Amino acid sequence: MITMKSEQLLRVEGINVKYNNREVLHNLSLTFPKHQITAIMGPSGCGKSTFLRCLNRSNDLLPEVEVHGKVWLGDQNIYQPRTNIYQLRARVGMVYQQPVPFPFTIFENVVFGLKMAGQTDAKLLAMRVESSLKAAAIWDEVKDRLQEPAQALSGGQQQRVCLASVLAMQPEVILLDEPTSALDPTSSASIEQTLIALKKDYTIIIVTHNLQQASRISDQIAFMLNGDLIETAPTKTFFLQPQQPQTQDYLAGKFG
Amino acid sequence: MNLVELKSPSKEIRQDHWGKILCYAATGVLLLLLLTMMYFVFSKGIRTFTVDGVKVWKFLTTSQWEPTSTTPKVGALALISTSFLTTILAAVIAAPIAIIIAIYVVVIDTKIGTKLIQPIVELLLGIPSVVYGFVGLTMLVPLIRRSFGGTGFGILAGMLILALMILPTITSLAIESLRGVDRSYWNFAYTLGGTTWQVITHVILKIAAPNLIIAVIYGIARAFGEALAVQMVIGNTIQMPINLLTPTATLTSKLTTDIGNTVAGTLANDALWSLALILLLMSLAFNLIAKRFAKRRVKS
Repeated sequence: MITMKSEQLLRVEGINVKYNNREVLHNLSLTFPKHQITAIMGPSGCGKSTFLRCLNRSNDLLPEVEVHGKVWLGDQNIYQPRTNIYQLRARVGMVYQQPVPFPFTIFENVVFGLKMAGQTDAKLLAMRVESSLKAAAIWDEVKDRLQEPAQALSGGQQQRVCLASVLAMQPEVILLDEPTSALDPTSSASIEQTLIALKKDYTIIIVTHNLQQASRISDQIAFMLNGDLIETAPTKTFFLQPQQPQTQDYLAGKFG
Repeated sequence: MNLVELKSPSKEIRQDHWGKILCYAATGVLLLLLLTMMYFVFSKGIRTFTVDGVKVWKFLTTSQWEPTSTTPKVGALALISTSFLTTILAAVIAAPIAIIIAIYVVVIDTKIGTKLIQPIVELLLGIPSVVYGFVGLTMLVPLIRRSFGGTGFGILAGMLILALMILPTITSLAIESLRGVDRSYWNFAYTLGGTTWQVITHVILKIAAPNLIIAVIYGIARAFGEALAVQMVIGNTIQMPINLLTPTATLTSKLTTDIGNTVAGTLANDALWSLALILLLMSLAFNLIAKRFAKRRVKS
């Protein structure tokens, strides 16, 4: 499927990743349409998370990882040497599998990135805390306890606070690495609802190995296997008319 | 199988039983050691006040130490203030350096840090204090004498030697504190747009702060109790520390210098025990302060 150029915010062009000189991602190319949810699927160890980390250059933090290729954010290749990776990471936010709120108050957690970026205006910070927590659908639960430690919250609530911390930076893209796999079903369901509500403002890319979750929330699915991108299709097509034999086997539960 | 056999305890239960007795006995030895030590130092240390009739207030606020003269005087103020002064100055010098080294080892270059710097720190930790004292005596004291005049012996030499000695102690504990900050916090801060400098100041140091303070307190406790190296460079005359070049003495250096030259039961001997009592109380206090910070860490 060819999307119009104006609708694509993020485009990966021939990404290769080496881990201790062993190639783990082989020449992946993929386009993420704006304001849609793309689910990256595949069995454990297929390279989904490594691929996701290419998109905000957090692989740079791991000395044993080497990335080659281009990732276009808008009209800018984020792997060109002059890229300001700190601004980049503010534009492309990331939520991890395990909720990792800092051992600070809820308020401090949400404004953490803003304060690092030099924002000191108390009024703006307070406003951004409210709007971010509202967007992460947790404002009503925590509005009276913003000065309490974030780690006193439940796992699902902590994950939402982390999401709010990311949203406070007003990113364009949100990356989520299996954000619900450590959560109970109720918390997972409400995070899913939140993501669907967020896609009108953000481009969302979620790594998941939960087929049902992908079918519920995504618009596009990219299926990976052993470091290769096997198939990319709109969600409905992916489930109803998978083209590749590996995809058919995966959907039939022959591995995974 | 018959019931009589079942009533006798199995081999595992007997092992368990003996294991417990062994643990209780070992812990008991430790407790006994603490109690006898406290009793010993307390009972001897208060003799100065109960038997020899020296006022506690006088002991703590005057600084003349002439226990054998015809009008005996024992005032520990100079010793106490020198102990505190050298210790605190040593910590002020050593703590920032130690924390910067720890940041280098844990954050900046873990490879060189763990393969080169950490072994060096561990090596320095194992060097006996008399060696530090000897280095101070043969290198530091002449250097100070040439640069600033005077004898070279004094607080400046004492605090520098102490700073050198507690540097590895604080560094080693600080490395552990920084390592204790979960990697996932770093990563989250990086993905929120943080630079390495910001991750260090906003996340790692902030979260590790209570443990870093404990590291410094242990360093201070070690410096406060150190005797030999200090005694070799501090000058061993009792006078109030007026400036950094004053030759003087600390609680510990006075103890090591004089304890062999006094007769048990005399005021000269009792007064030394009183100094030991002060040292014991201070190390107790350092421990309690460290415990308070440890508690705060658990809460946060």
